[in-house]
Amino acid sequence: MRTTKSLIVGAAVTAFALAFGTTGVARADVSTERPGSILIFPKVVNTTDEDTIIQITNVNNDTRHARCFFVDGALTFDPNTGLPRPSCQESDFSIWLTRLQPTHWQVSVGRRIDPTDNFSSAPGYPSTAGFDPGGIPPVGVGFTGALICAEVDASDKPIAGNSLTGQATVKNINGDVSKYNGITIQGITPMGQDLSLDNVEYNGCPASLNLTTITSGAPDPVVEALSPNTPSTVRNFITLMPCGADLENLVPQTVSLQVAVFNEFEQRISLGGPSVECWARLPLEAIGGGFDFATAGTTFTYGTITPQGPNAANGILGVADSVATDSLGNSGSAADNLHVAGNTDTTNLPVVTGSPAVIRLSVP
Amino acid sequence: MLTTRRIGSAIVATLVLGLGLAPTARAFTNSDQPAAVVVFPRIDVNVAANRDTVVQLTNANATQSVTAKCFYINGNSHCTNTGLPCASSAQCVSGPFVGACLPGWTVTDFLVTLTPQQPLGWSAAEGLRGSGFPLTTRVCSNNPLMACSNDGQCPGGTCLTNPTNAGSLVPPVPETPFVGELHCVEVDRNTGRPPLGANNTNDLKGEATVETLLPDGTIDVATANAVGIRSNLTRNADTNTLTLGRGAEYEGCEAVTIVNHLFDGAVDPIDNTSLANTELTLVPCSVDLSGADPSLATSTAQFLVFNEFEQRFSTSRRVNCFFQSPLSRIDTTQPDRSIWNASVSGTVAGQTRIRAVGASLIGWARLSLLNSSLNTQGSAAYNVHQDSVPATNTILLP
Repeated sequence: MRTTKSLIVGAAVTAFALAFGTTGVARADVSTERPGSILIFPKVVNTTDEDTIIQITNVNNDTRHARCFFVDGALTFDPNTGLPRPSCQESDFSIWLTRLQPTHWQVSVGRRIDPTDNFSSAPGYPSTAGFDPGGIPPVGVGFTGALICAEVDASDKPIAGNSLTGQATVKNINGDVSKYNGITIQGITPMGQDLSLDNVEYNGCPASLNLTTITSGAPDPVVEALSPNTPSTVRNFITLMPCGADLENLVPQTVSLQVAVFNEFEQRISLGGPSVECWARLPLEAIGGGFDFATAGTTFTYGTITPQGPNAANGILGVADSVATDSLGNSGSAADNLHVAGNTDTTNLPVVTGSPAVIRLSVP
Repeated sequence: MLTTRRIGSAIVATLVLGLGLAPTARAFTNSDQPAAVVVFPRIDVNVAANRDTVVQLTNANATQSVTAKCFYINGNSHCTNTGLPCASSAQCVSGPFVGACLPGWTVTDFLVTLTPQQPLGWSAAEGLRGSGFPLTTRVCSNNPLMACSNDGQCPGGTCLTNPTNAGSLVPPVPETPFVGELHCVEVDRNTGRPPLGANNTNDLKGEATVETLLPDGTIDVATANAVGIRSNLTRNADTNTLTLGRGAEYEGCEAVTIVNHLFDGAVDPIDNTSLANTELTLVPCSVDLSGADPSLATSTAQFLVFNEFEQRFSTSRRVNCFFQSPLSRIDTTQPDRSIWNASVSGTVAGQTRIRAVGASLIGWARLSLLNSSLNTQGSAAYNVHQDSVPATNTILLP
């Protein structure tokens, strides 16, 4: 009997090892170029100067359903402390996408269900022709925050369909355009309304974010070479949000960051970092003084942003944008997806105590 | 006998369970992780039109220097009679003679060594040489700007023996206007070939920013990440032939590329006036970087286009080495009749799925919103998505 048990256990172990071994090490990262079951747009704005177009696409051959949440990161005054902090209020909606269907909407307008809307290619008549994915509410003027979508089944139960991709296009009143890919997190075996980014239910958060930029305050190399309107300068901004979110209880998640900045001399010129509660868009030099040209002393800098401390398990996601400005005030901006580090099941999670990040959906 | 059957059943069930639950091994290219090979699909320089590209290349390794062998591939076509860059034969009229406009795909290679966690950047029009590199000599520990050869030259400090950029040289692009691609491959500095097995790591990351100074003085900036191909650390062989694919030396390029876009000519929902235009750049994943065999970098791109009504359109196009086109000129010379034209598709947003027959394809896209009444233009570059399974490709080094 003992032998039989051993055989069965041994066989099972061998079979598991064989099964998993032959399929290679499971890569488990967030991605900006692959479909996923959770789709996150870290920077969504509707201000007097800027507006955002969201594009979401179903890459699956079946109809797909997702629950989406606008998370407002605009600062409000905390009545308890009198200090400004993100409201972290959410407004949710659902979308349905038929097989391989793309959709879009302007966040200041939303998208209503109107099967009669026609297409027009004439200026002045924006079109929302197409299968409406569902009623999508607008966000108010002054909204600065994020959009989180989670793929669910018809009963609103999270599933690992890995069907969603998306882009956000931010345009300002000067006609300047920046665009970035939504961050996707692949589902593996979701188990409920708490989406655990633990490499079991969903892929984990990255161990760190990396970016290389023209240093904030440095002259822009192209403007300096080609334009008479010099001197020029580059400013950088970064939008950050914890991986984890409590969309049911609206409890803002916080993550402390360690930011290391390296200049072209290979010097580590700053080490420190802020805490991010719910959502923040900051000048890059505000999270690491080394990103400032006066400190770095070189045109290009490289930085790593790593969650640290007791709340590091909340993880971090983000997107960067930079603005080049000449001496006459002409400017142009571009957004850029950040690189991520951590590419195996064991190193992917932030190296900290505590549990992996969780996105808690509100009760449907 | 029964026990044996149960054991057999357990093995089968466990295998099925294991295979079923095992996360699919993913082995694709990445634009958001450091890699052993990075591909910048679009380097765009036209000094006369006030356009240049800033290339950023970073060594993400915290402890080791990395040497990258890089290759500009000139995607310009040239006139057979004048030798000048051209877009069509109509530009090859010289007096009574009319030449043909033929693609060339010439390769210019160079070597760059990056010290640990060092970012480097350069203008593609100007390159980087000599003192342009930050660490060309040994420097003092207390003053990295002071070159030294011994401790005596560093009062209060020591002369560091840290790695340097010595031996690096980035040439300017070979001509302007220039449009083409840039490949950088992590190599052993001594042999010039990819390091063996686990010595090969995934350390390179890159970004390219195309900047254009528009006639009205505004600055148009578009940034996207380089596409990385990660090394399979245990399988890499020390040869000049890099094999890509499932279980190969390097991860594979995807069989399907997905471009989410606004249809050309669609009215910008934000200002209700600007018109959208998306330019697509595709380069084959397989390439002979010695330039000897251009046929390796050929493919047929099969396009499936879906609008917001889930309606499907299709076309195909040959891709030789480098392909760049506005979406609405891929299938026709009359953009108003293109399947990518908003008036034809009938919706604003679309999804284009590109399946490569032949070498897999790596891509970038660039959205422009042109307001003709205000004469403003803004553009933004973005990396395209990938799907399906990794395909087998080959990169040949000289």
